Amino acid sequence: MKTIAILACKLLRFAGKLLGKGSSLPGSVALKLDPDILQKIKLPDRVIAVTGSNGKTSTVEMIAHVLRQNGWKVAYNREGSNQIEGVTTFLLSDCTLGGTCRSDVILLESDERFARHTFRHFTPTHYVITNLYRDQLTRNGHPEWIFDILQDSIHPGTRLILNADDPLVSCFALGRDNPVTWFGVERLPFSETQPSGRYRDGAYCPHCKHPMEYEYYHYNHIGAYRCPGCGHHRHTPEDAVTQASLEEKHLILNGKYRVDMAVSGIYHMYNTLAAFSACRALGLAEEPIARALSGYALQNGRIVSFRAGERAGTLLTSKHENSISYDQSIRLAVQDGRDVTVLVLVDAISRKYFTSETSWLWDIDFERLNAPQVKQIVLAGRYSNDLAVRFSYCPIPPERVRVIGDIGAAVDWVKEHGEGYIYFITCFSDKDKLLTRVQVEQEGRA
Amino acid sequence: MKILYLYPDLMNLYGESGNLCALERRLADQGEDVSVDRKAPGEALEIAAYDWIYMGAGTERSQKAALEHLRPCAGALREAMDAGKHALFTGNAAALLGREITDAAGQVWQGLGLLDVAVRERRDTRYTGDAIARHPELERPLVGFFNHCEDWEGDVEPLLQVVMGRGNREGDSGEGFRKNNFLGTHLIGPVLVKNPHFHYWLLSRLLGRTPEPREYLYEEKAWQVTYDALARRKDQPAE
Repeated sequence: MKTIAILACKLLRFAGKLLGKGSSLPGSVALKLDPDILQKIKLPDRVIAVTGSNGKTSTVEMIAHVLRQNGWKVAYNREGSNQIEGVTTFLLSDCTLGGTCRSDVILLESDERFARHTFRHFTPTHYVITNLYRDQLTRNGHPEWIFDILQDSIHPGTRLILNADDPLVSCFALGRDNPVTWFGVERLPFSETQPSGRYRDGAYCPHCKHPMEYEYYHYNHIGAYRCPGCGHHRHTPEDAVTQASLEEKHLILNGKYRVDMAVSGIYHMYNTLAAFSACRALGLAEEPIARALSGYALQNGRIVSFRAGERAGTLLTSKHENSISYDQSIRLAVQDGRDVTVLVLVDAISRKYFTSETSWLWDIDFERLNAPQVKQIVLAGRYSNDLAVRFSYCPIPPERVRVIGDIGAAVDWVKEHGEGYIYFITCFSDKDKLLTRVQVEQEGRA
Repeated sequence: MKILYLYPDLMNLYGESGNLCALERRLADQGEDVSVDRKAPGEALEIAAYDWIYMGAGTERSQKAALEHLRPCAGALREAMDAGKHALFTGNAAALLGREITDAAGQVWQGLGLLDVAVRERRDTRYTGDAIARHPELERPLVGFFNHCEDWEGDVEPLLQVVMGRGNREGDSGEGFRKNNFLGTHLIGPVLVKNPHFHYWLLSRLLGRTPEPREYLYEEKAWQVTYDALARRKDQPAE
């Protein structure tokens, strides 16, 4: 039955590709033919999974790039095949008919809520957890709820590769014997001694709820913490960003390996570091990893440059319902240094499910846009009124803020009246509504 | 007007801070002098000194920490409630006022005992979803979002009746509670921002008079957009 299930999966996938169909059907048929199929195939010695709220796709992409540059054969699931059926399709596609995976490494981007189901069928050898934030709370509840769910996805023996700077993620090491590799960003010139952002998820220890103490913050609850109540603390990382320059877009890993970054910003730094740490744990040496990471431009289309009439601009893809991804885009726009016009679009809150929930707008640090170089702000889309309410509580001079619900009219206004460089900030679900109205110059490269 | 904002960092699931921003502005627009005390767990509380108390939603673990810190004030809260003081508890903050909370691990936490409600938290089920709920004194319903894992058993006068979304327990459209001027709802986030008419109603009660007319155009439009989207959605099967 094993061979039949694999064959059926391969045939259906081939047919599906011709028809442009999704990736879950072949896997679901294979699982029907043989529910234990995933236990019967021979996986490579290295199966690495990446989960967390933000940075999964970028981290996975960078790991794959580094491994391939170093001559490894890598199979990895692209976005969208997170659920067990999709993962089955993906794994069986990599198999011979005899059921042996052809790749040296299986690399999985895992949805936080599905990982526990997926890893019932097989167990990763390495498990990277990047961070846990407020993300898609309409589905995810809250970060501690996701933490509890993820607990069920961790099995004995798996090496955990954890963000030492995230106090909630570091709780995964509590009470279990798994080997752990910690990665973290050391104190840098731009580390902050006071928390920034609209809310303080780091204010209390996630383990015992005692007020937490921080030596410094990188952003939100990410930094160097210690709980005087229970002793929960940041572990000294084995892999660290030891120096960095946001202006010159480079970082130094483990004291001596320089990586030039295509995208500036602390968030991207963490993704790069997570990829570095994962590749080290898989057995590669530091120098070739750093060389492969240096100058690598992400291919996932999150940053798109365009021309809008006379003006040049960049679209920064954020995620609705994820205030940290918005904060990240806002920081990039403000750090640009030139005069800028910022258009924020919230039209369809999700492309995958229905919701009209806008509470997350109150968690975004829009206050940061109150900078002299931010000349104009345009709020667009179906939820532009909610944005307008939110902005009415920001200390931004009202003459700089314009509410133009109609997306076409908003883009036209920017073309005609925008000042300086243009930034569009919106979600995957909405970005094409902007990009179809401008001339895209370079997609998917940053 | 003295306002007590309880545990703004601990009890903040997402966007709860908007409620205080909005209330402060509206009171100021009515010519009131407003002072807001933001108190963290462990800080001394003089419950009787305030005209209005607010606490928002938190994670289940944060809620238990809040409960332990608030426990010494249970008597003062009851006195405030009996004396007709005003308070709003959103999300799982409302459950603190009940008789007890049984958490997902089965541990029973004694509540503050202001309401005859026993709360049970689910382990695997979370009630997340958009909501429409009617208020008996308001023509237009409230819109918002639920994000909790509670079932309530007991006898309380509900604040709202759900039209879309789940009430305090399965098969019961009653949502939240209302006891004197203490109000509670499972709606999370900036409830007062999203529902300008409810905010107006609350303001009238708090001021004890009809508020001066003021226009909050974007709030009104935002409510309409969300209400229309939810009303269209309400009768469709769930995804």
